[in-house]
Amino acid sequence: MGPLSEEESLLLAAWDAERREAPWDAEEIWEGYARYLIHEHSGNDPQGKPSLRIALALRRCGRVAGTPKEAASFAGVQELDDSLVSQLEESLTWDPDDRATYLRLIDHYRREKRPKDARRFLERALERWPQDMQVLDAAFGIAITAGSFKKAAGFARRMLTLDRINSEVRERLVEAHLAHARKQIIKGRSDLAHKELAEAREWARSTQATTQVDLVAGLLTLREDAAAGAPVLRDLVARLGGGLAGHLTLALAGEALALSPQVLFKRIGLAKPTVDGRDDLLATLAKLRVYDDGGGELTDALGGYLSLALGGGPWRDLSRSETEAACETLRRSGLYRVRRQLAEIALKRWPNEPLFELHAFEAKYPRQHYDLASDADLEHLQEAGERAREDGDTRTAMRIEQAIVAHAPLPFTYLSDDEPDESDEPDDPPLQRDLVIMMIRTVGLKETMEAMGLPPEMRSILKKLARREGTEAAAEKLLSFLEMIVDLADRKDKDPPTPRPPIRKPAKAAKRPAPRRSDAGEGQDKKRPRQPDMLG
Amino acid sequence: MNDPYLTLGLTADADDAAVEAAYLAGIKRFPPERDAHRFEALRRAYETLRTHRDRLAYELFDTTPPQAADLLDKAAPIGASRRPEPALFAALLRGET
Repeated sequence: MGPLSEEESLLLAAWDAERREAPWDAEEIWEGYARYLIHEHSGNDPQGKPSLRIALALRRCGRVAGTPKEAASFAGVQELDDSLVSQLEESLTWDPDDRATYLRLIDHYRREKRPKDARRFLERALERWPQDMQVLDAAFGIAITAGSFKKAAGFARRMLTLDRINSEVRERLVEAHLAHARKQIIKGRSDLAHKELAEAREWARSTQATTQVDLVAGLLTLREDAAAGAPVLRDLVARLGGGLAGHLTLALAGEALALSPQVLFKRIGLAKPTVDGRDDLLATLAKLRVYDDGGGELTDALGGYLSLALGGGPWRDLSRSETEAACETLRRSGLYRVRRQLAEIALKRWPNEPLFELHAFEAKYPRQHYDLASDADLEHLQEAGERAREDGDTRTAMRIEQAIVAHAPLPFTYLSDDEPDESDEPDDPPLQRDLVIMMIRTVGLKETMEAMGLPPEMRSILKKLARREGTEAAAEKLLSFLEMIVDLADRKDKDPPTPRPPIRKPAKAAKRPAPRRSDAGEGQDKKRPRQPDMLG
Repeated sequence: MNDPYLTLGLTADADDAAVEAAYLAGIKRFPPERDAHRFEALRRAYETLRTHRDRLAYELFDTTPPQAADLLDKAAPIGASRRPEPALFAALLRGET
């Protein structure tokens, strides 16, 4: 057997990189393999080039990243980076008939909020596969994201011509017409809104869809004639059970028209809602879950309104599993005050339960990486984590560890098992290396660096290092850097009793992410600028 | 993963039509109610080799070492039934061969 050819060597190296789960190496080597093939066949007839082989090599890493199986092993490449995207794009010049690559790129640009790029690939995909359900589905999603509801309805209708009994597409078509109707209501075009509502009603079959149509129609009537609209909406709330769940459904419909619940309920003369028993409480939580699953975010106004109503709910009537699910729903909805209240009630019923300790802690310090917890609370939570581990509840134990990492002051000396010892060697770094590595593995290198407020230049250097030599190497570099900072801080600032390392502060205050939402009275909703009140 | 070529009884130069024909013949012989495991293996193999792009991707990216089941597939590849023809049975019973 003779020596390996260059092509064979490259293939072996690529397979080895994948076996070692070294994504950056794999990406580089597969690209090198593609370049080798392009170069080797540069003089030949383009038809004779191994185009498909080149395309497959170029899209290897971009395609595997993000699939559930590979994302687990190829940690760190769940999101496509620029070079992977450009490789995927280039692969289409060698093999323009791969639908999956178009869909991958469309999805990527949609996530990245780059609609122009998404549309660029969507148009090409639609040219090639005008009757393909997946392509039409992507087109529908992009049109909805762009607020082109009429176009979205067109795509949904095309999907329905291909699959007439597809109830999911039917629901989406109704939603597209409703979204268009809302847009027209906000613009003050009642005539066009009525037209869209009629279209929506034509396609609505399920109770949920017809209820939504009725709600928007009722709100439109309210806008046109308050005296006529108010009883319609009151009847609707009564039809929905009359409890908090019904109020929430109406309030969410009002929110979509930039109507605050306070104004809306006052206008239609509905009393302040209260939770009408255990079933109503569970129905309200279920609605919140569905709203959250659909990507909805409660505004401050609605959050405050709900917090008041939920505060008096019959939480003690819930079983333990229902209480756990409720805490989780409140976490996802950002209703921290109610969550804390529920966690405290739960801790009275099931004392020292680690999961509820975690909920109580997180609800007290809702903003991860920005709310520094008190030593007493951290200690209390750490004990809960130890109990969870002893009970075999690894998931809760890990969540608690992550919460501590997110709220403890860097460099996490707090978590050290050893008491600070004056006799320790001075060069013994007080840094919990494992925790920093765990944080990188949990939230990713980029997010860790952002949370630590590293300067952009440093972030760029470490990111390049991660690409070149792997995430572990970048983590090592980051740790060395942190140790250096800690040493400097120790030398410079020994006087204050509990010095906060300067790295804790983000480089630019403006770059701090705004909290998802806070409970009532804790600030304005920054993400959704309020539309003018459509009721005037 | 078992070698999909062996599972379908194909050679490495098989084209789309050959892959489809082998798959259809395979599931006819091993319908899910008779041999669910084999049926599933056939389905997986078909999906792996269905198009030219799939076959090239398998060649480039699959690094699964050979499995014990591959040896069985090699020893008894899928093909025409090896049951003797009824006429041969009858001839044997009559003592004509």
